[in-house]
Amino acid sequence: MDWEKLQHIDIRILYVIILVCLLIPMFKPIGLPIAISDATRQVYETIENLPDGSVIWVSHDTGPGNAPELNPMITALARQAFRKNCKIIATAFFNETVGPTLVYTHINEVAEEMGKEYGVDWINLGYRINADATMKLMVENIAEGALGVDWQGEPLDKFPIMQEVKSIRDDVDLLFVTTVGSPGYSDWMQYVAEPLNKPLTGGASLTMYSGLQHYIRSGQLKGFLGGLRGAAEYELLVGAPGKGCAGMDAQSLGHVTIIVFLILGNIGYFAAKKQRQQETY
Amino acid sequence: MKKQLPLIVVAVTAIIVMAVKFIDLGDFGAATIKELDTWSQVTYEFAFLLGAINLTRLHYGNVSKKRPKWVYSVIALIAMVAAAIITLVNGVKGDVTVFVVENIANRIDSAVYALLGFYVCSAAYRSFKLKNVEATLLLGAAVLLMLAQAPIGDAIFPGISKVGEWILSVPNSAGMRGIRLGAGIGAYAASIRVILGLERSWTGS
Repeated sequence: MDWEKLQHIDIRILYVIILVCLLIPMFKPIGLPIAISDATRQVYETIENLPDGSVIWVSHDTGPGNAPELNPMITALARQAFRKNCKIIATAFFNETVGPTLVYTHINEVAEEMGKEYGVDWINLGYRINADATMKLMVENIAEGALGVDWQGEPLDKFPIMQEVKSIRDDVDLLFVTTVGSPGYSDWMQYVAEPLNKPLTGGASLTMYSGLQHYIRSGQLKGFLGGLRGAAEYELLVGAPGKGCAGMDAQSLGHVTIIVFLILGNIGYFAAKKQRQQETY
Repeated sequence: MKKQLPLIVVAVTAIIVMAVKFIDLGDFGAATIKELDTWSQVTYEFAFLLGAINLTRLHYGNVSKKRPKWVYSVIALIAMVAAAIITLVNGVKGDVTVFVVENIANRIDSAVYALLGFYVCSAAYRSFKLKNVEATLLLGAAVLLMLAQAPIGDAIFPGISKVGEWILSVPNSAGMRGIRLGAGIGAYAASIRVILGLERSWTGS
């Protein structure tokens, strides 16, 4: 047998198999149980322990690529926050074109369902260039950092929520940040959470998970939602399974496919090596 | 002067920021930092303009000199000009602008990111071989974490997600702290070189 072939399967076959494995669960969900991690539970409990009516700052710092991982986190957060009658101030500092729309869509969907009103219970301040400087300005004066308008250019003076929430320093109780890079947790910690001693929590794409663990261990990050898995776990804790849970079966089959191909590649590698040695002798 | 002025601006600004951070200058210090932050925001706006000019120059050069794959530069230029015209005419929140952003730009962005999954799988299959101890450790950790991150892992090996959590939380944290400290010290050294004018590559010299 030519074991070399096992190491060089046509890449198009590999792509088709991955695609099929990702598609199958979408049409026929398997419904595997999802274990809840300590980091996700900590996020849920941090928010749950806030007094009713607290103000949560939500920054959805993502672009279209990572949105499927992070959007379910925002939906679940909005559900948990509004259930506790918390107010939400939203921003989106990563992507000018898509971030503000994403955060609006996902919070608004829950807000409408739960009878919460834009401008009264929550507001979207959208994107502002140079996140670091904007954060620093908003610490003392949110309106100044937002240039006096919300994401649609409406003056902030007309919204009742902005009469109550003037600065992050005095009026915000918790920061919930979903990020894919920069601005990231280090920016929020450096300019807002640490100087003001505000609790910071949230989630990020799974690729960032390993790089943020030390912040969780040090207590600077109050728990963490790691990628789609974290979003799915959070949805379960909030009691509203959504797109995060729906994507878990596809993730399971996708990971298993990669592992199967890793095993095949290694079997081919060792078998071919042994074959070559036998031919030499 | 063209080269020295940026160096002076950087050095003076950095000294002011550090002084305000380490010395309590009261309201004067707070007002200074706030003013610098506002300047910083304005500077960023200009950086966007500079980016557009540089991009145009680069791609125009590719097209006029017929460099390899110059056709892609034509597409990039057309896309950039078209997007600018649509936004200027229709407004940032206009229907046509939003349609173009949501149905072209965002879709392309999502598709490119989604393709990464396929490339990662293909790259892992071709290169992840148990050639030595280090590769074996890497492959073992990768497989374990892949199983730990998907519900099927716990279905096959109950409790594997907890093992995955431990790997991320303990050995991984230890390694990341080392990397962060090293990077922090490196950034500190690089900043001092910039402030002292020893590092001048950013000025183009």
